[in-house]
Amino acid sequence: MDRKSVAMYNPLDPIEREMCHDIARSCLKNSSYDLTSGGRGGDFFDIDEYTSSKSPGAENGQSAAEKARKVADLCAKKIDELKSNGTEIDRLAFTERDSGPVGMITYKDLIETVANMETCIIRPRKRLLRSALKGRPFNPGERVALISDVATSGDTIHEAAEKIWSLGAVVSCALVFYDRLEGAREYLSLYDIDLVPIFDRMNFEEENIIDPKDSQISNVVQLIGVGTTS
Amino acid sequence: MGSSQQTDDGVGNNHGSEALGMQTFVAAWIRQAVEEMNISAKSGAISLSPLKRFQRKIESLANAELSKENRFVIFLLSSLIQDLFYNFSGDVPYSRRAEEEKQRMFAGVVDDLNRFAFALESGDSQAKLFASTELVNTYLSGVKVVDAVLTKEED
Repeated sequence: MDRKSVAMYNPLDPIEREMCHDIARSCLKNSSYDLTSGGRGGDFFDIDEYTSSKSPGAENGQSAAEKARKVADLCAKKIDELKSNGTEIDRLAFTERDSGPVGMITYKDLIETVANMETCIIRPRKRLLRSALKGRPFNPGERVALISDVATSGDTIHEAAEKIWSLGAVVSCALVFYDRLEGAREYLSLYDIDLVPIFDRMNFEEENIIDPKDSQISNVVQLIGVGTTS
Repeated sequence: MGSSQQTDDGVGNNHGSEALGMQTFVAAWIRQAVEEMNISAKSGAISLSPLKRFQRKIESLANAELSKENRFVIFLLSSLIQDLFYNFSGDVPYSRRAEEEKQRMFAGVVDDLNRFAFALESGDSQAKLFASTELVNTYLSGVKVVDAVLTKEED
């Protein structure tokens, strides 16, 4: 694992710690699959699993809606922190690929409501530039925060950012739920995109969810089959 | 495909009658789609539904035991149609000029599909390669024109 990002280690507060464990138990799986960047991945992360009836929160009576609200609250809290630290954000953008939605798009409307911010969808693989944006056209120089579930190489975020730039807006930052610490931060920094994770791999190691020695995820589901993610 | 008449070149390329037989089927389906699209054009706009029905038909063949060439033909056509639908169905911004260019591109694709059907029936590999190259080129050039019109209009 590339540990270049470790210097940016992001400690968790008690609420985040609890959620870190819930999320890891339902969303993080040992696997072997192809990344959208073309590389191979071992820890599959799917944020949509968090609200599924099989996820751990379901055992203590939390509904899918309550869990979705927790995800939205956490994102909104991070967005508020970013804004109070001087990051200017006019709009939130969620990404959709030709192969389907990128995680977090399920939470788009809820995050829009909780964060009280306008949102849009970016479709980087559309051949017609004007079809690449679903939502009101950008005002020149409008500041957009990209929201995604996972950062690995940063390719998907960069692809979406390129469309945003072509459409005349500015990328303020990329907020991701989970940073695998595999170089996305460094790659995106080359394009002046600040990657802001809610959780990163170091958090999961600190919480003994991932064993740093063998990279295996402890106490989580084994995923059968292969998938693709960012 | 198990035919005694087929000639395999040793690397799985079936140049035999079965390969051609299937391509004749595909050519007939293309012709049917082309005819329906040409009929729809008379009412003012080329309908893409015949193309979608054609895509479903050829994709139903994907699980059959196919020669490499047949697989290539089906993959090429299916992927091209998929790309066309991904980019031109749904909420494409409307403008009269972009719509005209889009219809011009669709008409070009229809003509090139017809030529591709002839090439498939001919069994001539060079003709098939040329026809498929032209088809892809017509589509991608058309996309570029529509994109330029839409982008310019926004500016």
